[in-house]
Amino acid sequence: MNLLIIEDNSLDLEIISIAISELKLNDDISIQILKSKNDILNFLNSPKTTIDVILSDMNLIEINGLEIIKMFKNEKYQDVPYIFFTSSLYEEEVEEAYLNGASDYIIKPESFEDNCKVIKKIFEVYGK
Amino acid sequence: MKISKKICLVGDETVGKTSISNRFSDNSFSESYKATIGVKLFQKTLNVNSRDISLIVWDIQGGKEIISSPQQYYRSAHGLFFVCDISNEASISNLDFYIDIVKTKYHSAKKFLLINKIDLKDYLHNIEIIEKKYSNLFSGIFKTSAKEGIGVQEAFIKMAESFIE
Repeated sequence: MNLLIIEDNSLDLEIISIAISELKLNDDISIQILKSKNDILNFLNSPKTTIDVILSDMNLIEINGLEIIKMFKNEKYQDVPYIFFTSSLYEEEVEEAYLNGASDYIIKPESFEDNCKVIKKIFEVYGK
Repeated sequence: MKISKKICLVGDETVGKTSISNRFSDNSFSESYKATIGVKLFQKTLNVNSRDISLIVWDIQGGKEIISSPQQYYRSAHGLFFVCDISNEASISNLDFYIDIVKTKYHSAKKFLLINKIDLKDYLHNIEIIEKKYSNLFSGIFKTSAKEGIGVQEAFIKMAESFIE
């Protein structure tokens, strides 16, 4: 699976990475990480690469997740499942996320164990 | 004035919460199963007794862990649909667990029970058992089949009506 993670919080990134490695998933997993608006723009301006799932925070310091999903859905990654994995849960934001083509909206669990469960679930649903 | 209410679906995985949501949302049904991760959300307005009631339906990932976790999916819910599958014994016995959690955390929400998958005729004997056990705990119990479109609209209308009674 080719996973694109959009996240600017180092701790959250570490949790996701460790969760993936601890799950010992059978899939070959390739992970690309975009940590800033600049990373996102560079990625979108580069030739298209194979991405199976996008896992995105909603509240990056430089840019809002809703702006990011619009950029991805307007570009060459419109068919790639876009999952919000975030700490915020505002009804309007969830609605907007789905209106803009999100596949799932997940609240980041507090415990590492629960994070592993969520990541595992994502791989079960979207893994090939 | 339009009333807006948050409605959540509670129950085990695979009991048909998303199918019920889809049936209510756009009268659709799909045989293929895709587990819900996190939450899916849609809004639909019903006109009840000449009043518009906007139902914001939160189709939340199934399972005991989600409802008992500190995450806020169910926060400020005005209505809860508990869903079980008549062909799945565990989903029926787990209702006790969900009810216990709700008693303490979401006691003020309106509560209805949906006995789903009644199109599976071999399991209809479970309906009476469920109704007998839970009749006092819910504002209403509906026998539904999201697949065949039975009971779903009626349940949501009843939920909406309960907000203006």
